[in-house]
Amino acid sequence: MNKHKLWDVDEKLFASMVGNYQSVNEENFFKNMRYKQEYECTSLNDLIVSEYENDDEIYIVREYNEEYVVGQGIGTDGAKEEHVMNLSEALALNLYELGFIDRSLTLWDWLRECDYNVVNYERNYDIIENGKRS
Amino acid sequence: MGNGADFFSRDERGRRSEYESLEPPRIVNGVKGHLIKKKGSSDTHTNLPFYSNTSDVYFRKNRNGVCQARAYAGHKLYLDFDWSHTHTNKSDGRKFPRGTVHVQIWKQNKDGTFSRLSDEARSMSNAEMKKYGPILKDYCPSVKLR
Repeated sequence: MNKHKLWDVDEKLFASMVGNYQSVNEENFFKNMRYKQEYECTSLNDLIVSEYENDDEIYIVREYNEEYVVGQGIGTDGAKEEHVMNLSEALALNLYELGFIDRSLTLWDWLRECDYNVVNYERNYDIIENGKRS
Repeated sequence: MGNGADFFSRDERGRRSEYESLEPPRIVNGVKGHLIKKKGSSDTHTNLPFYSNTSDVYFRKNRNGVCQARAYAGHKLYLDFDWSHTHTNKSDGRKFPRGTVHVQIWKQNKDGTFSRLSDEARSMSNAEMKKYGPILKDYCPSVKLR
């Protein structure tokens, strides 16, 4: 498997987290996301968080290696979403300013608030479809 | 070929397709395009498929309109044309504004999986503009090819 070169901001983010995780789930999140970004290129998308599985109806979709679509709402069909180029940009999105939720949280704050319990690491549709990593 | 539903019942590998047609296919400049979506009422956020049947290009739309096209060579995923968002290349910082096409190239590996040929997006080539430009404009008149 070829290792994908990450954005510098994500390299720094992952490095800064080592030894500073707030929970086991946060450690799992950063380790899993690093692995996915480096080794799991996806053409069919990787649904990290589904709007059907949290009260705020937030969704997070990984595309290619490290592009992310963060959106809100069941059935909004792309009307309320942001597309960013890496995990650092995704985690920095302010969900309140985007009109996604009614409390001032970044995506990272929001994930910490629920201790990453909404995250599903097993929905890379390339792997589901092929049974193999790209 | 009919209304699209006929050839959409099976995918390239003979399995029942998980996608459905949203309208009959169109042929523009000799290129056959088809607007499709994943079956079901829940949004799974799945992208366009690995394989095509008889169409050369599949299109995807959202609330903002048609926003992405996927072209196939030998029925296999080959090119993504995307204009739904601003894209920035990691290596050179090149930006493709929302509404302007950026291109990603795919290749199929020996084990059947697909990977990108390059980490970076590029503009449409002259040959791609000549072949695919008219059908992209037909599905999304406001799209800028380059």
